[in-house]
Amino acid sequence: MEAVSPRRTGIYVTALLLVALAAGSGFSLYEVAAPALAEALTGARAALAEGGVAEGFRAARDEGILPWLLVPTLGPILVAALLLLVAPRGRTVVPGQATEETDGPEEAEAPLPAAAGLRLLAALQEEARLVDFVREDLDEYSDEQVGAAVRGIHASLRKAVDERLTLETILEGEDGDPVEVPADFEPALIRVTGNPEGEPPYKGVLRHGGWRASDVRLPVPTPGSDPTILAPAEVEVGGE
Amino acid sequence: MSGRTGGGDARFVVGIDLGTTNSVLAYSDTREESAAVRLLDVPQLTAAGSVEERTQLPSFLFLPRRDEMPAKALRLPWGPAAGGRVVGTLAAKRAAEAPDRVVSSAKSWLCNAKVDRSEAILPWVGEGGGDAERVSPVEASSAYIAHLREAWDAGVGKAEKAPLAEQDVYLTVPASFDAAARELTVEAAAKAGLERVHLLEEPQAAVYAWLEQTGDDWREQVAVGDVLLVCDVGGGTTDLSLVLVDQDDGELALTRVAVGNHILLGGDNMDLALAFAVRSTLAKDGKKLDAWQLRGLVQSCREAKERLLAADGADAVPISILGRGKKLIGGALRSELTRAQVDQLLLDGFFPKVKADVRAAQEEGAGLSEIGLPFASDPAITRHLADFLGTHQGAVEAAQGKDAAAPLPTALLFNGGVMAAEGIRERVEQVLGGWAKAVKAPAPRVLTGADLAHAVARGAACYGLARRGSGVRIRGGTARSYYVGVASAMPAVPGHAAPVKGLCVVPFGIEEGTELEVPGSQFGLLVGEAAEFRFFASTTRNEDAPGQVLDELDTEELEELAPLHVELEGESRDRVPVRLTAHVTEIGTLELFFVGKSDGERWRLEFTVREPGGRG
Repeated sequence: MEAVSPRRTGIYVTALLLVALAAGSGFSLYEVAAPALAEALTGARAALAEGGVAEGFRAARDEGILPWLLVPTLGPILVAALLLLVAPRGRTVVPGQATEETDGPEEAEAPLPAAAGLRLLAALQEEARLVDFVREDLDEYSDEQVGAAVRGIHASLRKAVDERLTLETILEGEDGDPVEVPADFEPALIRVTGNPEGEPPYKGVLRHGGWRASDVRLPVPTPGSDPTILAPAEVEVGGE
Repeated sequence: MSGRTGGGDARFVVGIDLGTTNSVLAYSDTREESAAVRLLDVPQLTAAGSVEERTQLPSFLFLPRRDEMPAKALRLPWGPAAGGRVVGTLAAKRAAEAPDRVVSSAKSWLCNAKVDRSEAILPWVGEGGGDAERVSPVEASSAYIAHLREAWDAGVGKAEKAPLAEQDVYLTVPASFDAAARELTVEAAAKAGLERVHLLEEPQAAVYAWLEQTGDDWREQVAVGDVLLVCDVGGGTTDLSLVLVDQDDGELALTRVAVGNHILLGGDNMDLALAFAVRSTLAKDGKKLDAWQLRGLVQSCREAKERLLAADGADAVPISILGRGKKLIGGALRSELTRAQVDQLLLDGFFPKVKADVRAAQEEGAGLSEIGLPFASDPAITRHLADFLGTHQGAVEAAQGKDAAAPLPTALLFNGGVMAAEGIRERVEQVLGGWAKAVKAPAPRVLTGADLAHAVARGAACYGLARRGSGVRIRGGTARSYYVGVASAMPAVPGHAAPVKGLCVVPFGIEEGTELEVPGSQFGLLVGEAAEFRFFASTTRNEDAPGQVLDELDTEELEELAPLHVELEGESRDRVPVRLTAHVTEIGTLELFFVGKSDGERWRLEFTVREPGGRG
């Protein structure tokens, strides 16, 4: 979220400057400087509310000062554009960094927001045939056949997941063990069900220890490739 | 050679394990007080369109056809791969399906003197293979190093403004690599943009990793007189070394006293043996496997092996091979691998209980030789071990002193992926224990090693730190003595080649950075004409001094390497009197020079690994 704020701030500043300049039609070119800015901002907000940019421009055109405004209008835009280019865009991905130094998932500049997720699915398909399995009609096969296949799928699925996610249980202990939910518990980590009375700490029974991915190493799509292809069709040339 | 060498002022000390099947990069930041050794997460293609980070970079090079995979799907974070070539996990995955477009075991080819190692011969398809793209063993090795360099430069190197080419890089090679293979490794690194690397023997690196892991406790775990056997069985090769613990000014010191020959035998052979066994069980039921299914089967067998050989392993592990098409359940085949099978195939096949005085079978031209690599004809690693210890009995006795109970190792350090299986470690211990018991010596202690898959790279970084003065160093020097073949002055007999004598030019155990003049090595060389010399090495003749002449070239003891050639430029056709000097360089390679009488007259003898005027 923080990563986009410099960009958005830049756009606001540019828009405000533009509107302020257009609205302040009586100003001489070089008087529109820093001291006027605070006042212009207030005016600009009013102008924005009343019809904004278009109103301002019309007024400027009627007054015949549009050419004069061109220079100070383009100037800030150029400055803002430069700022945008220079401004840091969130955390840069540093591939090849040591495990100890990598904390949390990396932000890849993915063409699709879902790309990393799709690459994970593609990896699970390639290494453990997950998509094939999900799409298979189990009614056609006996339990024995399904059982035999699932062993293979389970082993490779586990390996494929373990390679990319470090999974930890949130609450240690066996299902059914008595547990105490502390007074300052985090509702995102522990879901309290049943009928808790009064204030925590609560005494209860562990129904599910929960899961948490403490380390995520998702595949990064190569730039420009199509992440929606989970498995290409295969054609063997010269095979029968 | 000028420029900075070990103990330089580069910020990072980097160890690279250029393995037969996996490569790893470990590094240490000398600005940190702790000098912790870390592993580089190497971004690599794991599938078309996916880049993932792994600490191991599989040493495979995939040369896709133009239309095999879209170029965009093969882009790395730092840009498109050179020539559209793919290194790493994706390449390894393609190896079974497209063996004629994937280079594997390039390192084993690097030390195969029977082929031209700078000629584009890989992937090896035998004589008269198709017109598909090929690369040389040097080029393939260089591609792996280049990938690691790019990964570093885009990651740590970029963040810390420290490109890999400017760091102190230590590259590991098998102890059994001869002078030419070492030189080619340095050449591959230079091609990959690393002009300045140092070489280190892999078993020594394993010992450095053990030293790092044990910290100061190592002095408690070994004592003066201990002989440490490093038993390194990786994916493709078996590498044996003996390290002696002695003392130097009252401090414990380590000296590498012997190394084994290059044995092309490793975990890949074992996994294949299991896969073939399962495949033949399936074949009896009329079920056939294609290459794709066999790949899956080899993978399943590798995992099943480790589960079955674990301390409290199961008696049988089910193995299922999924159907290839969308109907994965309908096409699934089921089989299983039992503990009895693994015991019989792996333990008895590769690690049989043999007597201490057996020798490994040496027949040439066994069934595998057509593949092109000189695979070990005897699959029994324990026999190779007995052979190695028997051959180097003298070195151990000399090191231990005359009172030694038996020339057997007293401590054991395992390394390499195969040794991850507990059952195999136990078997090797049993066999060595049996040999010791037979001569009433105590069984060797097992030193708990570091993480087997990464130990060599970590150890190489530790060695780099040790060279800067922090930590103990293993003394070793050249692992072989070297000889130049000299035609004897006997009159030639028609129909018989003039007998060749061997002139020792470099004795065993010469430390890096030593230059020596070979006594009695006067030659008269013709200017303007190329001269070629046969070149030999021995891992057993440890006592020969430079200048010593061997009248007979015993093939039991001497191994012929690629010949050496030299050409004195000019046209005069005069004979110039020259003498030989040998230089064991700081970086760990061997250079031989002819030196003339006047100052500065120096001509280097080059290894003949390429045809004259060849590419390069």
